[in-house]
Formats: sequence, structure tokens, C-alpha cells
Amino acid sequence: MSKLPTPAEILGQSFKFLPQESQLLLITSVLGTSPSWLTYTLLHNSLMNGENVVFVSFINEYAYFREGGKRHGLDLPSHLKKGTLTFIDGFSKLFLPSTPTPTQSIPTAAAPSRVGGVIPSRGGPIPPRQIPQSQPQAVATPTDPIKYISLGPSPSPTALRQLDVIKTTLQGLISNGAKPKLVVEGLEVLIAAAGVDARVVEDLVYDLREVSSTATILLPSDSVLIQTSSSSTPLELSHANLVLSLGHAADAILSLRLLDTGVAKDISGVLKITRGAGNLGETGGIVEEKEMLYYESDAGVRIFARGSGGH
Amino acid sequence: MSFRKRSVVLNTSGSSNSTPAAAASGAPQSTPPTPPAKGVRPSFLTGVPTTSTGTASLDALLSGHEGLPLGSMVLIEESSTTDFAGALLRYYAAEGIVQGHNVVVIGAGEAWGRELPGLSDRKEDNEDIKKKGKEERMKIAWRYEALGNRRTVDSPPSLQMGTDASEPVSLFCHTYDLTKRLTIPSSSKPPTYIPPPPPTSTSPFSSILSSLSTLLAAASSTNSITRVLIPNLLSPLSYPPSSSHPTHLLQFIHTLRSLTRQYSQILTIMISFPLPLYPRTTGLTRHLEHLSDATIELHPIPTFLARFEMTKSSSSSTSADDIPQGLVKVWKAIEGKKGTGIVGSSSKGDGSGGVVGMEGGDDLAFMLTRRRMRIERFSLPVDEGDDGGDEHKPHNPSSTVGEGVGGVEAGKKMHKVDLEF
Repeated sequence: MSKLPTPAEILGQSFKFLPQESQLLLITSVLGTSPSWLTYTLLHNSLMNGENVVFVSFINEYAYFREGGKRHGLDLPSHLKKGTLTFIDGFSKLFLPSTPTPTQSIPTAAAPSRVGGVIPSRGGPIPPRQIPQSQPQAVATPTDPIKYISLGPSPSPTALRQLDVIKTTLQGLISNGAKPKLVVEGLEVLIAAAGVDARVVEDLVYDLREVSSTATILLPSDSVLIQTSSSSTPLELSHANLVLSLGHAADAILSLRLLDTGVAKDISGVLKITRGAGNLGETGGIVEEKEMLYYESDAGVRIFARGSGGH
Repeated sequence: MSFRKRSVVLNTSGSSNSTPAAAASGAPQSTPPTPPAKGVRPSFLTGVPTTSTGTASLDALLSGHEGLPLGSMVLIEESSTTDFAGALLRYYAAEGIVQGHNVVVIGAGEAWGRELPGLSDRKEDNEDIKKKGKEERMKIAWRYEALGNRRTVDSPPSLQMGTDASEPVSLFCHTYDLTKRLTIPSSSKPPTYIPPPPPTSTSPFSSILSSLSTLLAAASSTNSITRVLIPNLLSPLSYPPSSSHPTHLLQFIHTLRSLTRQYSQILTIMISFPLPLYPRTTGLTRHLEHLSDATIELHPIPTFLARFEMTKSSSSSTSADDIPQGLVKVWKAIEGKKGTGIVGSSSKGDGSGGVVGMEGGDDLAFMLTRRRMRIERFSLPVDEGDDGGDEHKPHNPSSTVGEGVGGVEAGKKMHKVDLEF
């Protein structure tokens, strides 16, 4: 088992302001850095505090996080079994024709029509109690806590209804007014590969924030993806659109990048914490902006101030 | 003996997959190893099963795994009109054929597959071994191999190697010779070809994906290791314009990625991608890189190529091995497979394993000779009095550009002599 920094260590003073309603945390990374450890940190913190977490990934499968979590002392399967963690796999079958197999009990035939009647995107607040009944994956719960999203080989606007499973899951987990946390990774795939309009994805995020406490969104932020010019393609523009608008809405932004000065043997990259334009200020807290170095090794991840050498 | 010892160690390090092979190698020689482990060994780093890329120095570059973890997808980019990436892919395909793996070539015809390099030397497992002075052993091995062929016709894929008792029962990575053509052993399956999408299709990759899934479903039922190659993805020669539309391409790549996870015990994918057509500064390429497990760029440098040509033509063929033809950049290192999130583990202290995966890391250079492709750490060589001479050397550009192929042709004659016996 390897050691991870706690969110309090990463966020410092600002951490105590974070676990609040409808907050948005944006984690960005570039090619060559992996934000997985930040994910584990947040998952670990939330799950240990007994909070419900809904974890959605469009670029990695559950086994990836299970093994990675294990290395960091995070037992995802047990949380999955307990029901505190719900994993929604938008990766494995995203573009595969949805063919239900005995192990994945998604009633795909029935799903589109049933979900179709439930939630118009960006609709008004929906009473949480009506959702569990109309949830298409209801049958899957005890045996297979992993839910799958499949848009099919040629995603159509109606297929996007499949994404509503995230919202219904979140709503199903609201208990005693405590909303679950949400972690979403790989939303860029929806834009880039599925051809979904960036605004639709933004709407989705806003919808999800309504029914979750802290929403954490992980997105790549390579400069080629967010620096737009007159020659930018729609692909780049829409990605930039998404990252920037979420950045403006976020309460805090954690960005990972590589060391500007090149490679060092004992530094993996730079973790920068900035405040977004979110509502954190209104609730009394302020995100302490800072930049730290981090180093991933077999022994875990260590964060340290620039110049302290990390020793 | 030493090899046997090593496999014992591997065995205790706790990989289930290596067990049959290791056990078999310790057992009496008459027992061939069980096929599933052929060409597969546990990662030195995490113990996940890995297979060889067919290029030993590329294996060494893979974050300390010393092999390509099954269930991963590698993107080889080439920032020039040369075809060095093609050589890497051919080694990868040839290795698969020699090991009896399924080899699936997407988007290239059988002509591509006819150019696979042949085995150069059965004994040459390790690149450290000098070629000189090994001819004797080589001859012996070949005779034994022919013998083995006759003797064990019915015990399929194991006969390719392991005919010499002093060797490990199966080599992990063979050495190939670009001047030779691979003859597909009777024990191996010939490559399967999936044609490029037809020019008019509206969803160009769907037919490829459906035939690939069929192949994979069949392969997984027999648990046979499968290598998928996509040479020159999006090359306008074979792909219709519609295929470079982001939704088409990225859907395809995303699905390939999910296939590698679904068939994580049998599947590896290697893609070569022409950067001149789709530069790294485009979002499309960057998304492609994000979706792949490892991204390696080959960056041929014309002056390097020129110097290489020069050295070769000046008849000292041995030193040509050491002249780099370009730089290798690892933009994304393979992760400790199965999600450690740790890029470029530091457990290998040799530098190449420690720092890959970071932009502008240690410079790596590649050298492609007719014998093999090597990737090594690179530092600028001391200019040995060739200042000024370099620029004046008359080099026809075509030979420089077509080095990947041209060098092969040039070396052919000399090579014939080498191997005659």
C-alpha cells in the first residue's frame, strides 16, 4: 500500500470550505500526467467519511480503478458492495452495440423508452422519490453494482438519454437530504468522439450539480486543446469551450502539468490550485491559491513546496 | 542454467501466467511448454502478463515492464515521411507470427504482410551479444531447428524455439533482419487482414470494428494472444476522407481502447500514425494520444540520416550501428498496467525507465540498421573533425527520406554473405 496525500494536505485551509452543496471542483491534466491519484485521494476521503459517491468514467474501466485503488489502500470493491460507491462505466460499452449479456443485466431494449419519459435534459427539479422506480438499471443493483452507459455505434440525440442514468443514480442515493458526491472523468469523450455539443455536456454538468454535493470533473487541458485560434477546428473549440466554462463555474481548480523546466528524476509534475469563479466566496471560504510539486513513486504520492526538495 | 534460475525467480514473484512455462522449463526437456504462455511473460514491474514488441530496446522503454502489457494500445507517431514506424510495426507483427500469436493487420493489404522481416539469428536473444563469433552457434541452431521441425510436427507452436537445451524454452523477443523475409512457420497462423474502409462509407470504421470483434471473440475462446496492427492510420492512401472526422476516428479509437480492456488477457494493439498529416498541435491527435496507453514519437532528423548514410557508404558497416537516425520522444508512458496511475516508474534506475512519459525527458535516439532497430539514450556526439564536411556531402534527398527502405536495399548484398553457410 502506498501513501497518498489527503485532500486537506492538498487544499490546505480551503479544504474545510469545500464539502458544501453544489460545489464544483475541476481537475485538469495534460498528456503525461495522470490525475488518477487525485481521484483516489478524493474518493478515499469521501468514502472514509461515509459519504455516498457516484463515480463516472468515460475513459477507464472499473478494473483500472480497482487495481489502482488497491495500490493506494483504497478498497473499492467493498465500498461498491456496501453501496456507498456506485461506479458508472461509460467506457467499456460506450460505442458498442448494446447487447445485454448475462453478467451485465442492463435491460437495453426497455431502457431508452423508459428513460425517455423521465427526464428532459435541463428540466426543472425532479422529485427524487420518483426516480428509483423508473430507473432502468434497478434490477442490476445487488449483483452488479456497476452500471454501464452505451450510446451505441452511432450516437443519436435519443441515445444521449442514456446519460440520465448518472442523474437517476445520484437522486437515488439522496438520503436524509444528504446528497452524494460525484466524480466524472472523461467527459471530453462525449464531445470528441460522440459528437455531443459542448453545451449539452455543460447542461449535463449543471444538472448533475443540482443533485450532488461536490461534483468533481476531470478533463484534459493540454494547450492544444484549450488555446484556440482562428484556425481551430470545431473539435478544439468545443473542448476549450467546455473546459473554460467549467473553469469559470468551478469553486476550485486543481491542475496538473509537467515541470516547465523539463524532467527531473524526483518530480512528476506541478499541482496548481486556483480558485474558480464559483460560489465559494459567498460561503465564507476562499481557496488558497498555490502551486506545489508532486512526485509519484512506488511509495505513493508526495506533494511538497517548490524548493523544499521534497525530502 | 542461468535462464532456468531466472524463471524460478519470476515464478515466485507471483504471476499466474508464467507458471506453466516456468514449470515446464524446469521439467524434463521433452515436455513442451503449454502454448498460452508462449511469448508472454510477467512484467518485471508489476507481474502483469506482457508480450514483446519484437524490438528489445522498445520493450525496455515501456516503463520498466520490459514488455508490452497485454491489454494495452501503443501509438507510434512519426513526424516525417519516412517509415521507421513501419519497421517497428513489422517487428511487432513478425514477433507475433513467430510466437504463434494471432496477427491482425488493419487497413493494409497482404503486400504489407509480405514484407515482414525474417528471423536473423535464433540465438540472439540479447542485444548485448555481439554478432561476430556467433555464426557457429547460429548454424548449429538452425540445423537443430530443422531437425526439430521434423521431429515434433505434431506438437505445434513450441518447436520454433527451444530446440537447444541450453536455451530457455521460449525466447521472449527475437531479433529480426529487415533484409530477409519472414517465412511463416507451419505452426503459426498467417496474419489476418482487415481491409481499409471503402471510400464511400459513411461510418468508415464500423466494418473494421465488427470484423475485429468477431476475431477477438474467437480468439478469446481459445485464449490465443492477439496482436492488432494499424499501419499508417488515416493515411489518405487507404482511408477515405470521412475517416478523419473526429467523431469517426475517436469513436474507433475509443472502442479499440475498450476492446483492449475487455480482452485484457490476450490483446495488444500497435498503431502508427503520420504526424505530417495530423500534427501534434491538433486536437484530434491530442485526443488520440490521450486515448492510447503509450505514445511514442519517432522524429527522424535529416542530418542524422545523412551522417548515417555517410558512415554506411564509407564501408565501415559496424559503426553504422551507432549512428542515430532520429530522436525518440515518449509523450505518454505506459502506466503500471491495471491502474497504478504511476507514470514512468523509478524502479528501474537506468534512466530510460525512470523518466519516460515526461515532455522533454532524456533524449532517446533510434537507429535502424538492416539487422535491427534500437532505441538508446542519446547525447550529442563529439564532432570528430567533420566540421564543414558534413554540409558539403552530396546526398540525394530521396535516399535520405526513404532511409527506412533504402538502407535495407543497400545492405542486402553484404548481408547474403553473412548468412551463407
